[in-house]
Amino acid sequence: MTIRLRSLQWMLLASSVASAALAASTPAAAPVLPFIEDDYKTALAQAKQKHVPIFVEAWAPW
Amino acid sequence: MRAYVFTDKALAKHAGQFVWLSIDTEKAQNAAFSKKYPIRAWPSMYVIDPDKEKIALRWVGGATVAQLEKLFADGLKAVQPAGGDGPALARADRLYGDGLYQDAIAPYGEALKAMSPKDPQYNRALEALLFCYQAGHRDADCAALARERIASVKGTTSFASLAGSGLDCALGLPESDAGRAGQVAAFTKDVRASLDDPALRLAADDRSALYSSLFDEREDAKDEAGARKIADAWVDELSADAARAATPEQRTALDPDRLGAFTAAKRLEEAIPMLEQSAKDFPQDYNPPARLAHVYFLLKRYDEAMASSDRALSLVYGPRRIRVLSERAEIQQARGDRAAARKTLEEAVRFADGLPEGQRNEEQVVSLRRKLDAI
Repeated sequence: MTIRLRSLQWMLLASSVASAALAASTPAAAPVLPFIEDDYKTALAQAKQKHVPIFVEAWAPW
Repeated sequence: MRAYVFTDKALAKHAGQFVWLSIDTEKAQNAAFSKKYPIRAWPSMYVIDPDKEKIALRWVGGATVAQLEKLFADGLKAVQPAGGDGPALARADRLYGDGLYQDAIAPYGEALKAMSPKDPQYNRALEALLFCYQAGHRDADCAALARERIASVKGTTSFASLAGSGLDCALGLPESDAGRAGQVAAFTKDVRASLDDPALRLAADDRSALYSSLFDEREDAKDEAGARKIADAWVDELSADAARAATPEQRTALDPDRLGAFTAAKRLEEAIPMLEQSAKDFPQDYNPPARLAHVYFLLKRYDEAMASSDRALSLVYGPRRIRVLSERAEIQQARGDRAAARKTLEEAVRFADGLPEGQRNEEQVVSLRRKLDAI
């Protein structure tokens, strides 16, 4: 997990982190993990019901 | 992550271990989530304990499949009430999960003192402590930790992380620091060794970050030819990665790094066909036109920059709109249209001011106002 905080400003200008660089509207390849999109309440309810933790990927499309 | 990692079938066996949640932090509907679970770097991954609604484990940055699988195991352990972690590591992980990076430093240090490098949580704890130092701009501590521990993670991806972060931190040391030159030289050697070791199997964006660090090191040494040589190698490697991409999505995911490499190599014109292709493949994605506007602006091709900015503005959402507006104002100023630049910045201030809590950034609002006053 190489993080370059020192040059973050430069990276943002150059437009930032490759692995997160996809727009919400971008047609994604089929994920193998059943991600719930942008709905914390639903995820929380399901996690409580199934007694498992929530794994969150927080990303931005830039 | 989405283009390369979360599509890997090796992860399917973990599907039942968690409820999986993807949060686009730019969307207004996720502002409350961002307020509750603040994020410092993108992407970030968390394991949340649903009963406590607290982050049990946080991971900053991208990850390979192997790192993710390790993270899943550590995450499951972290939410167990009688987990096997020592109290210092558990305390450090809780503080780190809460985003209290400076408070997490002491317990991580304590935990690492008691851990063997063979401990399955050692590398994660070490990288988390390194991030805490970076987040606090503690370059000397960061470089010292990376130097002290780098040999203990030889042969793992953490070696590359410590080499890259160590070099960045060493470059951040004041010129007056007597140990600076030695630290920079040693980490440069480690970064080169990481890039030359195919067994490390680093992700493309991690390799790209290492090239970027090497480029900075040559610039710091005022060696223009050396910097250019590294930038060219950086471009070549990423271009080869892009050519090998299995899908347009995988190829486009490399755009930001490729743009960084093209910029460093002073070969900005070559970014244009790359971004035009991405714009064609993903017409609803604001990133390619926003990046094109930036490239055209740097090339002083202002009419094309404005056209790309128009397109980006019609697609962009969330806090990123501020950056697009801000760059637009710069283009307008460069064209000599101060009135238009002022109007655009006023719009940016209004938009930034109106963002919901969790997305609103007070420092950014102040900086925009300052920029506006200067026009």
